[in-house]
Amino acid sequence: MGGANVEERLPSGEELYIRIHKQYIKPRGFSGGFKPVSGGISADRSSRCEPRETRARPRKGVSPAEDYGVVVVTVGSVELIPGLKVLPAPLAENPAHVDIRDNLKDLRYLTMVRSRLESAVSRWALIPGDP
Amino acid sequence: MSEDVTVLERDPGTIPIVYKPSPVTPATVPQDSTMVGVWKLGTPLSNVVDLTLAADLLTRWSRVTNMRALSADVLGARRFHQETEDLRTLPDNFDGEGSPHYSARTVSSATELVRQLTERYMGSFAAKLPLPSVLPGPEGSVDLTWKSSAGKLLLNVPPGEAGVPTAYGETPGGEPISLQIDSDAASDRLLRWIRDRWAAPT
Repeated sequence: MGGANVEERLPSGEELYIRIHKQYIKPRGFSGGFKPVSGGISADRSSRCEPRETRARPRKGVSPAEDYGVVVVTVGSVELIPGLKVLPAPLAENPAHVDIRDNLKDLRYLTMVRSRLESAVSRWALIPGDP
Repeated sequence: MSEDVTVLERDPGTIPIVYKPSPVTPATVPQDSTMVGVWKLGTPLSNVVDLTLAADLLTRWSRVTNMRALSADVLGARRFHQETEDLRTLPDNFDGEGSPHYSARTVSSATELVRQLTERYMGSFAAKLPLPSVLPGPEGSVDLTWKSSAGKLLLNVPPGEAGVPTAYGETPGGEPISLQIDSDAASDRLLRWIRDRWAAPT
């Protein structure tokens, strides 16, 4: 998580990249891949990075970058989900970073958010296995 | 081949099976034998009949032409079982992001919840609730999902004993539902939503 800048609002048409590990990607869904960390879901601004950079963000294990897919959602489609905001949260190593957040520690709310985020995905920028 | 296997569906969530060997049955099985069992949906067939017989049964199941509707249920049950097994094989940090594995207790809680909902749906509406897909959820939780052109429903079973399942469902243009499954009344509300707004989930 980065330091959120609540004063900056992103254009609703801006696309965001979210990384999802292949184990979450099944024929009938992938919403388990929308994982909150410290109350927010990490994404990257498409205006400031490439999908392959999102896929290659630091990991805790041995999974290679190719084990991840990258989905695309727009800021506007995310903020149509009740309560959600997209907040710039640039990191030293990742200036494109944003937080998608609200009270994602509320599990009932998180279930709704994950379902609607899955519906909000407009396309896959990368699928697992892509070079 | 249809006379080789007789399947009678009586109770929600279970399938009684009467099995008689056919010429393709392994020679280890006496030709005059009859196997009778009850298959509880979501459990391996091997819990009911000999593993070899189960494999033989499944191999020839599609040939039971007068059991098409039930065959769909059986195929759904096989998928359901495979998905739960897949979850159990994932180790800690399977996603490279520190996620925990899926505990046997959590997976069992999810399958038990499906069993309860299936029975309750049958008891209330005299109709079958199709088995959901079982998917990896975040932080060791299990996702159960139903999807069709009529809409989608996501039911999340959290890890541990204290967690309460939560559900979110939506239909095109319809009123969504969001609730905790913490009581029989909540289960009934969810099942009524399925029946009223989304009569044919798959």
